[in-house]
Amino acid sequence: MLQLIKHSFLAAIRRRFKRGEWGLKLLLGFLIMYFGVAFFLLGWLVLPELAKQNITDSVSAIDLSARFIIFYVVSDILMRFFFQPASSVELRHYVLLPISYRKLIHYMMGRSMFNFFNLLALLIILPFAYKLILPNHGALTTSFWLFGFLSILVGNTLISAYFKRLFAGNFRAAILMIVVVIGIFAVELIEGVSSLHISEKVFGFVFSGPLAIALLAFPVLGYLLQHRFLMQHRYAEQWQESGEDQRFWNLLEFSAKGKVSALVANEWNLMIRHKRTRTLLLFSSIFLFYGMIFYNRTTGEGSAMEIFVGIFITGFAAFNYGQFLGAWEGRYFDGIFSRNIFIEDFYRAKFRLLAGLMGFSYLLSLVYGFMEIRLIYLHTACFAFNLGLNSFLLLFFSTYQRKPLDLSAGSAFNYQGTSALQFLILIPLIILPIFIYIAVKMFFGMYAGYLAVGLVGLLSLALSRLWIKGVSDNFREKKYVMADGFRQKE
Amino acid sequence: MNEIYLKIDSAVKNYGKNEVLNIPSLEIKRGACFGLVGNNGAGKTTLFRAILDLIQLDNGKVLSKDIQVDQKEEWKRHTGSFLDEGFLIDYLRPDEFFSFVGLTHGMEKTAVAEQLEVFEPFFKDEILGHKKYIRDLSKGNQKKVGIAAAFLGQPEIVLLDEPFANLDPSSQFQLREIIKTLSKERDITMLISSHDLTHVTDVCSRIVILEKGKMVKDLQTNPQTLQELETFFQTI
Repeated sequence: MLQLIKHSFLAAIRRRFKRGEWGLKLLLGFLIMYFGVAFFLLGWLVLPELAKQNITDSVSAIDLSARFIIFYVVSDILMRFFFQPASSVELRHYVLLPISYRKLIHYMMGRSMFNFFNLLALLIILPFAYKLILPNHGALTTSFWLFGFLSILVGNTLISAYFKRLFAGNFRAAILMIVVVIGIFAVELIEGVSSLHISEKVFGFVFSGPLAIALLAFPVLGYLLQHRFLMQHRYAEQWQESGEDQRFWNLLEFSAKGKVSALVANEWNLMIRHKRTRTLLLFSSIFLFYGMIFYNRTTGEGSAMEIFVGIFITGFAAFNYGQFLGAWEGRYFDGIFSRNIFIEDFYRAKFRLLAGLMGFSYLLSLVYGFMEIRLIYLHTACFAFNLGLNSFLLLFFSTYQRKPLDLSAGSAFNYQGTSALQFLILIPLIILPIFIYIAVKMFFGMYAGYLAVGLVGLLSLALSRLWIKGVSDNFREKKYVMADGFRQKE
Repeated sequence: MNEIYLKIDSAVKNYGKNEVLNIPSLEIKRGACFGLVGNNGAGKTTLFRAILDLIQLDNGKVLSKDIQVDQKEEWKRHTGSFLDEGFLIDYLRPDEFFSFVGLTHGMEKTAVAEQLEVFEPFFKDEILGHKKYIRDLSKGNQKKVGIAAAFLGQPEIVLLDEPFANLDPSSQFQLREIIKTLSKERDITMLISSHDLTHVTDVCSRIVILEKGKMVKDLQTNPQTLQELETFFQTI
């Protein structure tokens, strides 16, 4: 067992930091610190503060936490269903060794406890218990509460992994799950039937007493389900992951008629047929909520930070995908450029793809209009800037890529092919509009600032032919070096 | 009919101090089937890449139907090629891939299907109309997809690097017939590299041996050619 743990530790270390660059390591370290600190602060300071405001004589801290538990459970299971790896590949290395299969199963389940979601949840649960439950309800109740929550955490991990294995390749089930989650959220909107209220009553009661021990049923159920499933599927061929949720994604396929749109369709298919790019898309969609935390809280109305957030919200998917614009297709480079595809068409297709991603993010971002109508103007300006200028900057930077991406490998938190350069190119994309905004706002006010940012974008968009030509000319010079780089195997 | 379709003029390519290609002059006529043989590292793939403008020559130029390949892109219209699996877009299904290649030549789906008819016995019902992605096909079937795609869009010049490798024996013989038929019927200028001396002498009318980047023999195929090639590679 100890050996197994050692192996997976080595695998993790050697995968992520394999021949990494120092700049990248520093940046990754920084990102990990940033998120760690951010979530810690959220759990330690922000949430307790928010909660305190809502605690009244009739609503205790326990009631409050219980109110959201139903949401937590369903959305958590769904999130994990898409993001948490239900890894089984590594089993292949061990099934032939004289280790009992039962032991392997236990190891696998144990290992799945150590993941990002659980860490985040702990960072919120523990401070909450310490700061709010403990002072108000005493040690005994707090331990019941903690026991209940941890049971749910462990149960969620096991059950979602079970779902993931069970529904592999069954996209109807995946859709059904989404529908159920939306349904639970929708019930909330119906007058008189509040799932929050029900959740509060039921779980509030459970959490505050020894009944919390009954929640142990949750992880036990998860354990039994997975155990049974894994015992029935012991052969390697049943482990194949290729079917997975591909069918769900295939709904998004489209085909093309023209030359340029054929390239766009191709690349779209690339995105939806590889795990890494799919995760990237899903991750980007979560990023749309970034503004929820930011607007009106840390920033004042009209601050330059809002431009930063606006650019990010309307452009995150495009930035995220666009930083590897050439490298995604690195392995196909020779083939693409010896076919009847001219360089200008190639870049026109890339632009359309980025524009599509940005346009989609922009449409979704309009929901922020419910918060404040001003944010619609802000997002429109940022969208125009992204579309008109940032997209071409991404195209331009793509001609400096030399490393092919290994599309088949891994998904979330996969940094293969990443270098510090990828993060650096994001800086001008964001700094520039902020400068424009600050300069104009100083003299003419906030809305003029939005207008200026938007206009610069539109002006640049009008020059798109010129940009495409410039990028293509630049590409012509770099082509051989790129091709050589992409031919190197990792 | 003596037009020169492909002309290589004092082409030199070095990697560091290593000279990998040095061809003072090579002219290939329209409709010719040109075979390239040589041991690993002899420069076959490098030559192909130079013709497809995928590497930059240190000196010299390549003219494809009088178009200098590193100056203009128009040669892409009349050139089809399959060098390695990087020429396949392996997350597509074979049908999608063929229609993509067709679209790059402005062809409708029906035209693509028509041009693929020649390959139907070669495909053995294992390729067209299947849901599998190219990446999930066997090596041999991947090769078949790549070769067929190289012939889409009425190319006048076709380059194939090791087309016989990875194919099962009967497919190898089928491919020989396909290449011979197509080069005759459509008047395609064909460049084929191979380690299989029998196949290459059967298919090609002219064979060049490359050794350390240089052309060491230039033969018009006749009944003695295979013997000559075998002797060469035994004694080298």
